[in-house]
Amino acid sequence: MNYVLHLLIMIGIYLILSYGLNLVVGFGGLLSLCHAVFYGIGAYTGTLLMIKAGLPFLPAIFLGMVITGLFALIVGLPALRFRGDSFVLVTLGFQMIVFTILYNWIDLTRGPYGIPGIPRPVIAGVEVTELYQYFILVSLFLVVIVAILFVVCRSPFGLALKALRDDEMAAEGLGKSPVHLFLYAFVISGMVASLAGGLYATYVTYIDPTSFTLDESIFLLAILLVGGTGNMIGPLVGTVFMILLPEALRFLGLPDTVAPNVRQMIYGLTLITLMFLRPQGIAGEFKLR
Amino acid sequence: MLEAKGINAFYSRKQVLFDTSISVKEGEKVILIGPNGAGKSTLLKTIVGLLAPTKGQIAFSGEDISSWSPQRRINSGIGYLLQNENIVPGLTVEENLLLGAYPIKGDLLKKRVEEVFEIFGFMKGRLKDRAGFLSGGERQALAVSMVLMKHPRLLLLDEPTAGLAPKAAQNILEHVKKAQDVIGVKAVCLVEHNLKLALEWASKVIVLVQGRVVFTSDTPELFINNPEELEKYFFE
Repeated sequence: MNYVLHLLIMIGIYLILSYGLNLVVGFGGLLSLCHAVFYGIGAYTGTLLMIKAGLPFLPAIFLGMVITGLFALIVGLPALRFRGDSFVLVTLGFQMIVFTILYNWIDLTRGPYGIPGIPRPVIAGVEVTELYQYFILVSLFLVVIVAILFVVCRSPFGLALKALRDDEMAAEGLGKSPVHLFLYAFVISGMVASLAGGLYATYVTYIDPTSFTLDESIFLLAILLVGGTGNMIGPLVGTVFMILLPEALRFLGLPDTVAPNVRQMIYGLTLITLMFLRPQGIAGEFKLR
Repeated sequence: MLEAKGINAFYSRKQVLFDTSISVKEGEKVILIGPNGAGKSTLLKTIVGLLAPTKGQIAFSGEDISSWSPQRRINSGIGYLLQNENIVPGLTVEENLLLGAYPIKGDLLKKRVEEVFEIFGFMKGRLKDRAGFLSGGERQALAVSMVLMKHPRLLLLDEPTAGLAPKAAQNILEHVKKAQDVIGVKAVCLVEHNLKLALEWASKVIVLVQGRVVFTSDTPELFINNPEELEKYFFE
C-alpha cells in the first residue's frame, strides 16, 4: 500500500510540474530546457525559508513561488526576445548556471552534500507525516493548480497563447504582444514548478542538486512529448505513463545482472516507438517541432 | 487619416519599398494594386508595425506612430487582416472572436459579437463550430470579424478575397461595406488582385510597382471597363 501511495504522490508532484510546463510548451509552443531549475529553486527556497528563516510551510512555499517567478522573469525577458532555437539555448544556459550554483554554493545549499532533515509540512497545527496525509496534501494542491490552469488556458490569454503558437505574425496582427504573453506564461509555469519543488522537498525531506539536472528537464519535456501537449489530458497521460512504465518493467522477472540495463533499453524503445506512431503524443493536439 | 511618407523597407538586404508614400483620407475606400512582389503587403505590414522601415514616417489621425509597437497601433484604431489564414483553426468560432476582441470583455464583448452577427449573419449558428471546419468564404468572414471586434477606424485588408470563388469574394467586399455602417469604420485600404471587383468597390486606386507608387486616381470607376489601362503600369 505504501508503495502505491508513494507512486501516487510522485505522480501528483510530476502532474503539477507537467501541467505548468504545458502552459509554455503546449500552449505557447516554446521548448524550455530549464524547468527542473524552477523545480529546484522552489525546493531550495522553500527549504531554506523553513530551516533558516523559520517560516511555516505555506508561507515558505508561497514565498518560494514568488522568488522563482522573479527568476523566470529575469530569464524570460532576454530569452523571449529571441524565440525558437535561441530560446532553447538560453533556457539550457540558465539550467547549467543554476545547477552549477546549487552544486558549488556550499554555504547556502551544502552543494553535493545536500540538505537533510527538511521539516514536514505543518498545516493548521497538523504535521503531515503519514503517506496518506501527504497524498491528500499533494492532491489538494494539484486540484487547485489544475483548476487555475484550466481557467487560464480557456481564458482569452490562453487563446492568445495558442494563436501565437500557431501563427505568431497573424496573432501579432490582431494586436497580441508575443513577448508579454509568453513572459506571463513562462513566469506562471516557473511558479507552478516551484510549488512542486516545495512539495517534493518536504516529502523526501532531503534534497541535493542531482534532483534538478538537465536530465530532469528533459524528462519533464519527455512527459509532454509522450502524453501530448496543448490540452489538459496530455500531461496526465504522459505523467502516468512515464512514472509507471519503469515501475511496471520491474515486474518483468529479468535476471538481476541485466535487469536495470534491459529495463532502460525497453523504456527507450517504447518512447521511440511511441514517437514514431504518434508524434503529437498519446493525447496531444499540438506537435512539438 | 493615414499618412505614410517616404517609406524604405527591407527584407534582410533586399529593399522592397523605395521612398513610398500613400495617404488614406476619412471616408475613402482605397485599393492597392500591383504585380506580385510590388510591395503591397509589405507596405501594409510596415504601416501596422510588423516590419520596421529604415526610413520614413507614418502618421495616423494626426499622430506620428512610427515608433509605436504593433499592439499600440492596433489598439489605437488600425485593424489589420494579414494575407492568408488569419484564424486559429483549432479554436471554435466563438473563441476566435474572443481572441480578436481580447482584452475586451463583459457587456461590451457581447455587444461586439452582436454587431458581427449583424454583418455576418451565418456566424450566429456556427459559434460552437471549429473554425477549421468552415468553408473558405466563412473563414475569411471570421477573419474579418476578428479584426472588427476592436472597432477599428481604419481597416487594412491584405487580399481578403484570395482563393475565394467570385461570388464569395464579392460577398466579402459587400460585407466590408456593411461593416463601415455597423461598426463605423472610417476608411479602408485593401490589397486586391481581382481588379474588376475591387474597382467597383473602391473610391481610390493606388498602383504600386517595384516598391514605388506609380499611379494614383480618385476615379477608379473610369477603369472598370478597361482595367488594362491600369495593368499597363505593371509592365512598364
